[in-house]
Amino acid sequence: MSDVPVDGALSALSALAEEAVAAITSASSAEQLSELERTYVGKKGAIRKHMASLGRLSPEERPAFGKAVNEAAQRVEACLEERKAALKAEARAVALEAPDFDPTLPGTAHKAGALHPLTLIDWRLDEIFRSMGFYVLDYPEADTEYFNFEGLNIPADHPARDMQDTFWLTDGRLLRTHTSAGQVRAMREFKPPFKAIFPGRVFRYESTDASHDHTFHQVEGLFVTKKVSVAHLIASMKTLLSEVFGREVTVRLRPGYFPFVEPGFELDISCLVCGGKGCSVCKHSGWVELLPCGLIHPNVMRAGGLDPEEWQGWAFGLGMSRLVMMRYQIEDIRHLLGGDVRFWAQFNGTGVE
Amino acid sequence: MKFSLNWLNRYVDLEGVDVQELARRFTLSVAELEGVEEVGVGLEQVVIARIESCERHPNADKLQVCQVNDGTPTLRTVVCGAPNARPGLVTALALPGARLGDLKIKTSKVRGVESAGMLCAPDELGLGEGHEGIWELPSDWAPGTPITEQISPARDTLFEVDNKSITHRPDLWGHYGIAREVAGLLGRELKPTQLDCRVDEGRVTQHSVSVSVEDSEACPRYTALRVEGVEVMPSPAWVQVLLYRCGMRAINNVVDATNFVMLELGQPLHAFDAREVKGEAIKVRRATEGERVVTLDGQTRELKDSDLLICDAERPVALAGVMGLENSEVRDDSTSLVLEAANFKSEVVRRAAVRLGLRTEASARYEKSLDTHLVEQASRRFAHIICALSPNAKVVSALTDVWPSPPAPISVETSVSYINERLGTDLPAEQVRGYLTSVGFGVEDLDGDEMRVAVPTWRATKDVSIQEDLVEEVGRLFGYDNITPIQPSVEIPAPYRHPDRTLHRQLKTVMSMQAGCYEVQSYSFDMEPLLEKIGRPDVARLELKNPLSTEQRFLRTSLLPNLLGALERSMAHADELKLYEVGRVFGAGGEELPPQPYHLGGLVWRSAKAHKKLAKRELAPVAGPTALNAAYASAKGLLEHLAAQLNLKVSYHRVEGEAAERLPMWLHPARSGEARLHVKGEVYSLGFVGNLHPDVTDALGLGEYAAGYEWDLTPVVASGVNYGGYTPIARFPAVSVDLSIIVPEAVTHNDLHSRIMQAKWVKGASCVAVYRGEPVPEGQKSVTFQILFQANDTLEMEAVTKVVEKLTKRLGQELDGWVRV
Repeated sequence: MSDVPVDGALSALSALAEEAVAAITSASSAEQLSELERTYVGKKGAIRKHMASLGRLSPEERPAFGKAVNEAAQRVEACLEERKAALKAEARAVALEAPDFDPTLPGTAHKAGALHPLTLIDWRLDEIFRSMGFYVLDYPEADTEYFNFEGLNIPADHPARDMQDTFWLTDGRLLRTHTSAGQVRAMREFKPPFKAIFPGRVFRYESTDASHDHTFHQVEGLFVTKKVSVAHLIASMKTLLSEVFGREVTVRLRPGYFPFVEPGFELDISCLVCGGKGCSVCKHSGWVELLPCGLIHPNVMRAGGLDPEEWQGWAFGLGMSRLVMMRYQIEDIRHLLGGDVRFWAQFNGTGVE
Repeated sequence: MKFSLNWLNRYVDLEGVDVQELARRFTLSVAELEGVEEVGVGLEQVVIARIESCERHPNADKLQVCQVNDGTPTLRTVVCGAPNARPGLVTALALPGARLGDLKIKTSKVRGVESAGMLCAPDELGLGEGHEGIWELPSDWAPGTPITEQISPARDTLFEVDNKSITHRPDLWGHYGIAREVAGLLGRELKPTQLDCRVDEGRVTQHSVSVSVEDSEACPRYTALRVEGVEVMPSPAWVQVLLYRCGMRAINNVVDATNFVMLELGQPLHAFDAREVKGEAIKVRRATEGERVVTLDGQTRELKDSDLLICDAERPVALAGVMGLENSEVRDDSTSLVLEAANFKSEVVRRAAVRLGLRTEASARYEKSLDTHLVEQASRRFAHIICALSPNAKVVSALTDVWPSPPAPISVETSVSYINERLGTDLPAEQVRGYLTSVGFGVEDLDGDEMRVAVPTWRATKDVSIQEDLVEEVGRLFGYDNITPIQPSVEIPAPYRHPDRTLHRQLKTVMSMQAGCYEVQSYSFDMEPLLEKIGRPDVARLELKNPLSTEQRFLRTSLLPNLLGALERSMAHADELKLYEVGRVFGAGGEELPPQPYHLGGLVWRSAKAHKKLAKRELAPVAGPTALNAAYASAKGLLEHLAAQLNLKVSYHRVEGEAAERLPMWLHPARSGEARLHVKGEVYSLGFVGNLHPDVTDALGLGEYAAGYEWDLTPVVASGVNYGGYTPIARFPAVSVDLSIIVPEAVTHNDLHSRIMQAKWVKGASCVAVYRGEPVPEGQKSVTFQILFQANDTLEMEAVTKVVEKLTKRLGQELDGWVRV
């Protein structure tokens, strides 16, 4: 017979389980729960210790007692799991609240750089024109009289030279007065048919003010192919300029004189401010003069090594600095090359739209 | 240039024409109008008045109280401040209620005296120049007559044409040519000019002035006409007003008549006092080099042998096409004139006018290549006008006309289909012919739709000579806005990417979008005052012959100075700046073109305060703790990042020997490195990176944290686009070993790194610390590398240790390196 009364052991076990459940239920942290787990159901815990007394029981009593110990342990463990889950849920509920959080505080600064606005517009034009099959080229800034004038059908002493006051170099060469200086070079370099633009800086011997600088940027457009008409030019310019301005524009041509095109035009676009109704920007005409263009003069074709009987084309010259100023509403052209961080730091973006 | 619609109306009937619509069509078909101005509005309330008496104003020294006869029985009291107000003067009186521009005239008290109107100066009425006094009108003009009766029609509309847009149209530099275009646009008749005049029947068949032209290329046609009985006096008011409105000043009836004809026909004329044309002879010759003459404006001019002179038998009397000389001008007592109507070659006139800075109304017209036929018409028109302006004037000679080779008529063969093809239109032949003939072209039909177009002489000097010119004529008269746009057919061009532009785009993306730098674009010129401060390089620079200012007269040879200028201007507004520019620099010489490579230049800078703050956060075990070292490391770091992004292999070296001579003078001679690009076994010097020279930092007050760099991008472009390679991901773990080696200061990172990289299994080695001080001996440094070993197998530590030992031994032998144990 056993020397330990089974009933006494069973009631002690039951009391212990009760005690554990009470402690677990009132526990308020994960740490306390781990502690209680160790105390009661760990390998050396109080409930497990009761297993040690199993040996002292009679073989008949052993299964029932063993079962009772296991059940007590399971009960405590289940209570532990339940309490753990409850505590976790409480903690999550707290974590999901944030009364001291201010979403409007400024973020941490990441030092960014900036592209020059001329580059931003240059890249924009680059993308538009390349997507339309144009080459985007680059030609010398210091050039010869031939490419800037003679090759463009502007011989010496031609009054048209007055239109472009020239910076001459002491060695007889010059700073190009227009990107048109690249026209003959492009014709010599590429096999027609081809389309190209060439953006870049140009130089004029003229006094400066808020809308004039002696150095500014243009972009030249050139299209050489077999047959070209004024009707083509109008359609092309309308498409190109609508893309450049990001909206449908209406264009009109007026006679304009540029010796390297014949016929030559001044191209007006419908005023972007009033849409053509008339406002102070367009001097109430509904039109804004934008660029000179025309069909390439046969003499220029010849200078470019092309037979004007075989090849025709059109050309235009767009004021890129003016485009930049229009786009960003810059009030003084001299800021563009002026060198002031308060200017550059304002332009962000990748140039990709 | 301003054109009077009243004047045009003499030659083309403008009855019923909407002025705004005409202006629009003129702009779209002929030339750009800069403005349409209505003048003479409000003159209805201005009358002729005679001052009867003047008294000093009781309360003002400079004012007079005038009693004025305004044609009514009672005298009118008007207060006037003009110094020339005097009894008996006939002048203009604006009555109360008159509006002169923004000024509304009303009866009001002037310093206590009531004034019922205003006596006017010509400019106040918009009828002439001059504000020095009230208008002095002819004494026989009756008081009370509206001024509009004397100057009729007083109202006018002026078209202001942009001169630039008629550079190629000599025929549009006078009212008659404009009238021809307007007649064409309106489909109305162009009336002829009146050319009749009084003549001395007995003498008019005789030549009175002999003309000889030495250089008929410079002077294709010269005519002289003699007029006598001239009385020099002011022109009638309507002439004065017309001239004034078209931008010219009335002088006297003779000069005004020449100007009148010029404004009408576009042909400049010059009248000499016949007494001063010695020997009754005109000789046209080139000037001798250095010859001096005194022009009408009283200036002495030194001439060149390319200039053309009009001389009499003894001396020069005019600078051809530019200005007459003082010695022969028409004076108040002149009675007999020699009138020059001539044609001079545009280049000759232009060169002289540009060189002498004497751009006159005459030279501006000659420059456009005038029609030689115009000369005779202008001479005869002058005779008509002077006879009208001077009651006893008579032509007393035949026209002496030297015109050795009249130009051959020009005709251009073209076809209706060609014109349509180039315009993108489908105009019937009739319409094409109609446009051409409406502005004076002659059209002769040939086979099929071919035609021969005779170019009128006034368009034949330079303007129209090829088919394309006729395309323009038809296009503009049809109206370009009437052409239906046609999209060109699609062609697939061969692809092309410009290598410079491609590189610049990559480079700017890295510098601005990744490395946090600001892109700067600065002028292509050096700023001399800045170079004065920071040092001027001893190199040949491209120089401007005609600089705008002495400060900007050389082309930049380096991007650094203007970047330094930008930094100087910006440092007050920032604590830290990283700037760069991609742009051309220029060198003197070159064959066809001056060398003008693209460079990349940049600066890194921090204020001392900012560096102190930031240095704490930045561990600098390699660069060292000083701002100088940190700035250099930052600049070099940018370039290393750039090279990595562009897949460029760039190495850095001490600046020695020949490289030292190429180092930009604004960089520190001892704290700079040379960058070299490695492409397929070739090595190219790219440029330099370095601390700024202490002279520069002192001059600009930059402090220690300042470094710069400049690369020539030519070899980078030449190396082409570099795609990075791919290495398969290693299947076996790498072993990392730290090696600290002590070497003399002269040994560079490159010396160590290159040798480490040659050791077996080494995949990479990065310098993680450079240490000086105890226990490293003076003059030496301890450099720590983290070396990564990798093989196609699992590496055993013992094997790696053997490699490190071998490496250490090599570094010891070759570089005097040793490892502390």
